[in-house]
Amino acid sequence: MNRYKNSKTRLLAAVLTWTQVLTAQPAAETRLGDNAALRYWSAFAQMRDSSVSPEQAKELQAILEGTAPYDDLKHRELVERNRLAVETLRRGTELSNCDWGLEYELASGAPIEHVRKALALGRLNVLYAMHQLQIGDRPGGIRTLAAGLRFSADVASGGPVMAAVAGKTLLLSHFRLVAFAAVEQALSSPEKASISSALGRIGAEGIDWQAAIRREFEVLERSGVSGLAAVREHYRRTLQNPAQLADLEKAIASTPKAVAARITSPRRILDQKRELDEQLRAARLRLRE
Amino acid sequence: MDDHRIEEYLKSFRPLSPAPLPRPGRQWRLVALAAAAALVIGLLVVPRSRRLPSGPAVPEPITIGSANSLLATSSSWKEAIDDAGFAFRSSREDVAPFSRSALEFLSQEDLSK
Repeated sequence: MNRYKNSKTRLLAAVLTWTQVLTAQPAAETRLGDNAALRYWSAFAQMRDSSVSPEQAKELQAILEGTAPYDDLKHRELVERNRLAVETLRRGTELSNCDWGLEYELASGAPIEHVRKALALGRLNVLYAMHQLQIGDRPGGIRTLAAGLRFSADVASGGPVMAAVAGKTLLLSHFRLVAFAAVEQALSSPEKASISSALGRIGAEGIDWQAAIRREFEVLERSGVSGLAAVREHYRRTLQNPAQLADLEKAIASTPKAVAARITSPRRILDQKRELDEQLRAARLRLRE
Repeated sequence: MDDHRIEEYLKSFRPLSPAPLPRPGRQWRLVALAAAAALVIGLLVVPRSRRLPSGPAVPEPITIGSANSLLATSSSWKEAIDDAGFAFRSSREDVAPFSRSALEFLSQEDLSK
C-alpha cells in the first residue's frame, strides 16, 4: 500500500514537472524576443553623428526648449542621418517588455551606459517628429511622438535614480513637443486621442520613483550596508506623502555619515516628481482642449 | 693716360674698415622670433581635428556608483546629467574641425553649455 502511494506521488511529481517545463518554455521564448531594450541598443548603434556650429547648437537648444520654431532646412541633415535609429526606436516601443538587464549583483559597479545614449537618441526622436510634422507627414510625426513618450518611460524601466532622472528629462522634452504640435499643427481629435493613448500607456506618474528608490536601497544592501529597513520604509511612505519629508531627513541624518551620504536626497526626488506631475497634467489637459 | 697718373689714381683709393660681425646673442633672438612666429602660424593653420586624437574618444564608464556620486555632489541634477563625465561622447569621426558633435550636444541636460 505504502509502495503504491510512493509511486503515485512520484508519478504526480513527474507530471507536474513536465507540465511546468512545457508551459514555461514558450513563455521564456516570448520574453527573450519581446525585449524593447534590445531594439533600443540597436538604435543606439545606428545613431550617426554630425557637426553643429555654435549657432546651430543655440538654435537646437531653443527648439528643444520650445522657444523657437523648428527649421527643417537647417536641421534636416541631422535628423535624416538618424532616420534608421529613430525607426528602430519606434519598433522597440511596440514591445510591451523592456529589460535593460542591469547587473545589480555588481552593486554600485553596475554599468548604466544606456542612460547616456538614451538622452541623445530621445532628443533626436523629438527633432525627427518635428521634421515629419513640418514636411506634412502628420501620421508619422504623431507616431514618432507617441513612441518617444514610451521610450522615455522605458529608459527608466528597471533602473536606478539616474535612469529615472534621464527618463523624466526625456518625457519633459516630449511634452514640449506635444505643446508645439498642439499650437503649430492644430491637432485633430483623432491625433489628440492617439497621443493621449500613448500618455495613458506610460502610467499615471510616467516614472516609477518608488521602484528607482527601492533599487538604490538594494544596491546599498549589496554593498554591505545593513540596518536600513526603517529608513527604506520611511522613504517609501514619504514618496506617497511628502509631508513626512522632514522626518525622513532626520532619519537619514541619524545613520552613519558615510551611509547618509550615499542615500539619494529625498528632497530632490520629490522636486523631480512634482515637476513631472505638473508637466504631465499640463500635457493631458492640452490634449483635452 | 700715362702710367704715372694711373698709379696716382689707384693710390687715391682707401680701404674701408670692415663692418662689425653680428653679435651671436642677437642672431639667436632672431631665430627664436622666427620659430615662435612659425609656431603661431602653424597653430592657426593646421586643422583642429589633426590635433585631436584620431581614434574614438574613450569615455569613463558610467556605473550606478559614479552616477550617484554625480547626483550627490552636483548643485543640481540638471548639472549632474550635463557633467562632462556623464554626457555622451562622440567618436568625432563625423565631426568637422571647429564644430561640436551633435550627439554630444543632444545628450546634455543643460543645452546652453
